[in-house]
Amino acid sequence: MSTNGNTAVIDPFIDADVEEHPWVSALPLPNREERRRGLLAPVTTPVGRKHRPKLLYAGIAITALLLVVVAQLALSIGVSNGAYRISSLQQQGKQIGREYQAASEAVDRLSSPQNLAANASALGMVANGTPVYLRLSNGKVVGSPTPAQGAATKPGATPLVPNQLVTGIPLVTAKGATPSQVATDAAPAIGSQQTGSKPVQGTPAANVDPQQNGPVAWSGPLPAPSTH
Amino acid sequence: MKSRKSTRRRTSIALIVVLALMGSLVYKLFDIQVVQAKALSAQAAERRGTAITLYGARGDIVSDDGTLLAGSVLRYDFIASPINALSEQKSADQKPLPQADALTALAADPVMAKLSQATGIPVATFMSKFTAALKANAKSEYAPLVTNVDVPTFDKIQALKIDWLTPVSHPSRTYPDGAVGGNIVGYVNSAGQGAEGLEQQYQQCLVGENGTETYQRSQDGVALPGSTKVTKAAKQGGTLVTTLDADLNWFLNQNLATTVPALGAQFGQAAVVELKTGEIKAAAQFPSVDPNDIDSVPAAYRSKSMMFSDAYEPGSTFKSLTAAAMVDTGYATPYSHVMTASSFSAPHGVHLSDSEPHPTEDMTLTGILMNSSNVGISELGANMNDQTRYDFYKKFGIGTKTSVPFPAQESGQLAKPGQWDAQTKYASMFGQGLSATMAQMVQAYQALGNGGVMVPLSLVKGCKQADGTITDAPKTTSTRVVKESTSKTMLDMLESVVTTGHPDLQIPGYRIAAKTGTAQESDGHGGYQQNFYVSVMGFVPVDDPQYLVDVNIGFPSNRKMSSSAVPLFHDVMAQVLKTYRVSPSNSAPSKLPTIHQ
Repeated sequence: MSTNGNTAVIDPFIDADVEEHPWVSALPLPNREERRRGLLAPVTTPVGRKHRPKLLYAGIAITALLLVVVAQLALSIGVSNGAYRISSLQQQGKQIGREYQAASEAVDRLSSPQNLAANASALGMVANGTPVYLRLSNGKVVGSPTPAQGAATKPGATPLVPNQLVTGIPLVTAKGATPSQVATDAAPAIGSQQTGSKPVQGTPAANVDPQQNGPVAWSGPLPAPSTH
Repeated sequence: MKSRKSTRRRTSIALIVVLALMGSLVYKLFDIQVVQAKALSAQAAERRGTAITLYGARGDIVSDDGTLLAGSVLRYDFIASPINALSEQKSADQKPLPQADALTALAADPVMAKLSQATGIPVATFMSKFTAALKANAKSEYAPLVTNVDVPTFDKIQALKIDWLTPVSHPSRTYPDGAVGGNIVGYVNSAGQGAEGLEQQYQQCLVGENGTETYQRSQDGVALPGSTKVTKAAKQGGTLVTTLDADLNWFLNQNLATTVPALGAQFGQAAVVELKTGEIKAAAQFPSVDPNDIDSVPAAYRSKSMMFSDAYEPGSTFKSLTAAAMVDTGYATPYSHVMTASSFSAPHGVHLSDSEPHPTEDMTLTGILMNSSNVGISELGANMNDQTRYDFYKKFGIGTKTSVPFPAQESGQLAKPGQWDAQTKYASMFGQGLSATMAQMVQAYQALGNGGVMVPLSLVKGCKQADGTITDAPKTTSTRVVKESTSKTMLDMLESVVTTGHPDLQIPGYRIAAKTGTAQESDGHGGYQQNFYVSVMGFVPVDDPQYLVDVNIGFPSNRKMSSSAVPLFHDVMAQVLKTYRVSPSNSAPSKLPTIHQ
């Protein structure tokens, strides 16, 4: 540091002061004591102003740390909750998969030609061997209309084309359980054996409100076959 | 000044050290998390993970419209732990019972009755399984009580909440349409591998591959977050799309099942082919195996498809091929005629006769086909070059397996002309002394009906893999066998079989061409059996041939004429017309003369 007041111009701090405050040069030169101690001396300004920001930073740091801890805790709780949720959803998915399998098996069984033919026959339907068409462009009947020959086969007979899967499915004309119920619930029911009030979880068909087993009302446009 | 410099130096050294540390940590992190991640996590999973199987299900076999013919389902087994089941049985003062007493107590436990009711298996069967397991190992924890149950039964057993009973699932095969096309679809063996039919032929396409997944279990059995690792992805089997029409196939099966027993016959087969594509739309046989219950039919009909595996002497239906050869080479026309008696003799002991006696007539080739006269075709064809005729038979696919990939396919027998004896020279003209499977006859007729162009028969459209690619597509190279004009002439000639020969074959509004056959079959001792193999093969409609129907009935004992198969053919043909909305013919039937004027 410089000990000469005249050289103060060199000192950037003082230089700045001089430029901004030209009256500074009018101040008396420092006395000896002052020179001995050097130009700069600790200023007895209050220390609080310098130290208060440090406390604030510490506060911020600690709060941030706490926040991080809390956030991590919350995150980890969330993640493990998620794990349980995944697990229960997977379980549910498996259950639904089973129900889907049971239902689609039942549909396949019910829509097998053996079952459809037996039901058509039970309803008195007879196949007509003479195809006749109506040509829409000119309203002409194409082919020779002939009444269907033969009688419907006796209901209840075992299908001539074997299919183990349709055994035991009642015809639509039969009284009692509906075919869809039997198809989804192929094994004998536990029914009467159930004791206590705890409901036994069963297949969808077993849980379905019995009132919903009737014909389902169609909503929307009538389905029409796609023709060429 | 000095202290400030040293502070800077120290700071920068610290910074460098920190950066270096951080760098090495980042490097290590990258190395573990990215570079070695797979190997390390696999290693970890191997050591600590719980492995579960991801099932790669065997693919479905579907009909041309997507109807499921064979599908995969999960079935469930229930494994009991006898030792745990018995330890639950306590005496009145809550003390464990000796094993024999515990077994008795278990048998009387209401839960066993409920289990029996849910499964339909008597309690005694369960108890004998318990006893057997305990006999083998007094501390047995393994006794498979219930096997192969479906979902409804599974749910019922689960609802009983028996804690010594554990469910195990395994894939199984189901055939929703049963015996419809059963012998074509085939079935799988106990290991789930294709054993017969398409299941066997397309094993490669259908087979799935199981994968594995590991995860770390928490104490309460839940997978730890982020620990689930698919160590091997499952591969789902491909879907085999066949050309079969399930409903039409059922119709054939059903009608064979009515007709064959009514005629006192042994077996029957029928097939429908789309002429322009060669697709086999239906292939039925009786008896037909129900793949769900293969023991339901005799072993002879269980493990083959008669259509591809049974070669027989085709008999009169073969005359069409001979006639086609004659017309195509210009050797004969529909008007070529010959004096035809009921029987015919030639040198070297050749003797042949028609199936029914008739007055001697000057039959045209049309008449010979209509009356199915062995004598007529033999006399008319006697001077045709044997080799030329043989070449035509070969071109029609006789003596060669069809191009349909199918297990246990027969090629039939067609000897070279040099090996024909005097009788075979004549007999081969009407389908004796040689053999063919129904598939081969159908293939030959396909060419005959399709303007003379043979399109290889196909049973499968392709195998659709999970990623959308199609494999196993059939061959489509078609070959010309006879001229287009020959094909047309043949159809016109064969129409007389329907218009004049067998009016029962007629369907109002449609022009149909057909050929009946009454084939004698070898008795295995150099002679022929008493009963016949009757068949009808025909095309519809004649003016624009679209479908080929073939019905065969094996050895009817009640009515032995070729007309036995006529009602069946008529019904199948009518059903084909309805199924495919074939529009009625617009032209009048050709009236080729059957007798020379």
